[in-house]
Amino acid sequence: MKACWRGFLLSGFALGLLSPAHGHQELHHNITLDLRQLEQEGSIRLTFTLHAPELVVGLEEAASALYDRNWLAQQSPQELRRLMSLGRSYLAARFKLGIDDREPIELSRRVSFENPDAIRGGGARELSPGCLEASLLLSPDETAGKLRIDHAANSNKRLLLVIERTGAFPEVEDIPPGAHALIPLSREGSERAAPPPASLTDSPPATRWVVPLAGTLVLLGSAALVFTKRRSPSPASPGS
Amino acid sequence: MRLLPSFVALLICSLPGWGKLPAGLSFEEGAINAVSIQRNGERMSFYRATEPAKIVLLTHARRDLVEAIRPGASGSRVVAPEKSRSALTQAETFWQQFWKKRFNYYEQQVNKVPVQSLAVDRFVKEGDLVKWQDLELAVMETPGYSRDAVTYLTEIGGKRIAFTGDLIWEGGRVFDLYSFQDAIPEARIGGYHGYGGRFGQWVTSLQKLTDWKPDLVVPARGPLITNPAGDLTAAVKRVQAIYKNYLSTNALHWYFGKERLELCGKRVLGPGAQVGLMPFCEHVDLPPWCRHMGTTKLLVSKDGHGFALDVGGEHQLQMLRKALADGLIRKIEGIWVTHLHNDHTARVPAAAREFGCPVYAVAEVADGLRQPGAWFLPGIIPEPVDEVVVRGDGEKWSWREFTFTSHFFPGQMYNHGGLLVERADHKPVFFIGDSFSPSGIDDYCLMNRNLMRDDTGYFLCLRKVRALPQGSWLVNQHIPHLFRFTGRELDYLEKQYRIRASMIADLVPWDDPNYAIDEEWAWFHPYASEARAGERLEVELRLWNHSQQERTFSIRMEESNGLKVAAALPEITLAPRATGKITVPLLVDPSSGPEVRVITASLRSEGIAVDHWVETLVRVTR
Repeated sequence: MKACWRGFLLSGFALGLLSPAHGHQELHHNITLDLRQLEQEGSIRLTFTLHAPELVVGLEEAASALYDRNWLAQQSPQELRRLMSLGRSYLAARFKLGIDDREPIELSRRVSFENPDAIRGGGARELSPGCLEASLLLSPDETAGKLRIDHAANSNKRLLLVIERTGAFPEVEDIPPGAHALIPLSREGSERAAPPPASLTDSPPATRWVVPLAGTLVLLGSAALVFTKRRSPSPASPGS
Repeated sequence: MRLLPSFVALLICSLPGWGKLPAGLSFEEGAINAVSIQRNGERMSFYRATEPAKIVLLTHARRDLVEAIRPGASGSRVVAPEKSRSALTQAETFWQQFWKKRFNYYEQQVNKVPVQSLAVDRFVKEGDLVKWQDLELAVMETPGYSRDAVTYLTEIGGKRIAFTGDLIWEGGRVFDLYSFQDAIPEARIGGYHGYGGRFGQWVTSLQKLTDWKPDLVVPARGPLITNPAGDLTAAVKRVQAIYKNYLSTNALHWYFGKERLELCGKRVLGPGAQVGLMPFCEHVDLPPWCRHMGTTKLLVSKDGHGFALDVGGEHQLQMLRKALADGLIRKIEGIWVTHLHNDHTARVPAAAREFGCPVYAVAEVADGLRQPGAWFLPGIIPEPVDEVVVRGDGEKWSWREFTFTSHFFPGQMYNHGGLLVERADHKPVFFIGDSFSPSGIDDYCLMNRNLMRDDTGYFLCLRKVRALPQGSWLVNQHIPHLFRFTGRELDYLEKQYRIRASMIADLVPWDDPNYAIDEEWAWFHPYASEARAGERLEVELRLWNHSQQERTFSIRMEESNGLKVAAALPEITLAPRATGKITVPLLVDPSSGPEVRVITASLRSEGIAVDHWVETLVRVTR
């Protein structure tokens, strides 16, 4: 009689439900900026997803965290408190948040984490194994103006900032280390017509830093061409 | 008859290593080499024991070595590395747990783990001494090829001899590359992204052994190493060149930045090494009709219908639900699955049920969706997708105002597809799953099966990208940009990749380097089955002849407690670069209890001899 593999798949399904993966969290920093309460309540919430193996200090500890996908689930409440403390420092070292020219928001003091049981279980949003999340609620008296998020040059990963607004697709901004995002927090700006019209142009809109960069490169390239025309007929291959 | 002693002497003199071996040390080459030292009628054995020994020494706990030494271990004193303790003493537990652990799996360690535990009398670590008769063997930890490896160092007849296990193969080579996959803690890179993660440790181990100045190296596989200094130096140079090449086309440069990749490079290349990385190619924002939702992309038609590419996790599914609830789209009409990793598939079954839409994939992806338990690959989900519409390689189809062309696209993993999306008002966009980033190739995990063959793998992907209509864009599921390579950038990627294939061919002893980078050149389908005690079931042994010559393979099943082979297995002959399969009928022992049983296969072909090489799991039910 043939093996009945489908039966056990269903039993394994329960396991799958407990640990769905959201992606390789080690690839990006992830921040979600939720502007959906801005109009009604005037508040906004930022959620930071942290990849715990990147928080630990010792090489051996980092190794075991990276080897074992269940590492976070095995941490004691005391160890999790230590991770939260490291997480606060980690965020403060990588991101600076401020609204207009007011005092910067003290991330290390103001972010909060879920309780240890929730963290061990993957959090309310069913995070990837090894991840925990911190959140920051900004009250109505803090949310007038433009929110600026600075991404440290030495953060070693790109930042994906997801902006959620009422009645609109989430917007995603890819912010490389050393760059920043500026988000208007006006109540009118929290809603957008949806869905945006499809582009009728052949080329999609370039990122705002590509255009000036391309312009600069064209200028520099033209200058270089003029000065080195006779000496460098064939440019080097990429990576060389 | 008078000539017989001369003939025997001539025969002995022609044996490999004769004249190099001190008296009392014997060496017989095989799938695993049989090595022993005899003293006063007693025997010390390494690697493969042909008869009982007084003492046996293990260098590491790879399954074929453990099984090769087991016959000599009975009644003898067994010495093994401390770091092999878990694999040697908890083998049964490993396999019971692996039944579930194999899903959503990203540890990326070779699972050639012993099927049965082995009783060990002494575990040793760096600096320990093993004394036997008049010999002293010093323990040197030599991780790299495996995490747990040690080398035993001794002096016999004035010669400094190192018993190195799988540390190095004669000629400055090593048995395979996939065994080196591991986390790189210094750069905070996990095992999945850790191509050659233990290359750094390997280089350190090779240099440590070089410093000890051995006269003779006795490996677990392959010929004796009679020129240790030359071979050890050659191995270091080769692996450094390979790693430097790997970094030069690396997709992770985009995500992790230059500093982290330089940190990876320094571990292998040395502190002052320069790492050349490919600059980012042209990249721009996504068009408004393509929405980025984590690892999921949503195509939105002009009349507000949606078509999803992957549904990675609960968060992505919630985003799709919200788009429907907010009236941003009217309906989701289909899901295209790019590849089999769980960050792209975890909620595909739920989304297909909830939205009542078809799931599409190429054949190489579809089978893993329909019967995931039959496969063992990184990140496979346990839940099947009930129905998958298979789209052929090159098949054109349409959805709303879009024209789709499906492609087999074996880039980041072999079981991978690509979808070319065309509409009248935009340059074509090729959704290539996770196969390229603006900085190069996503080939960081060899367990994904990145074959380096002209007819498949990244060489095929590069050909397909070159064949796209002029100006086409690429999209990676993780990246919220369109990007494209220039012809020169594609030339660079291909040239570097081809150089690496050639370098790997020099580093490994196989007739084709793909055997050394593809752990799945032989595998069982299904990887795991369920059956009742006394039942008969069938599995297929699937074989890839990576060689450029015809090969005939013979298979020997290594029966284990609870599983027997129900019929003799024929040989199979495969054309160059062809694949084939042999049906293996298995019988579950009628008295077998409800446990996970493991049975392995040994394979032989000209120049290939591997024992206990691949396994299939059977969970016995009541």
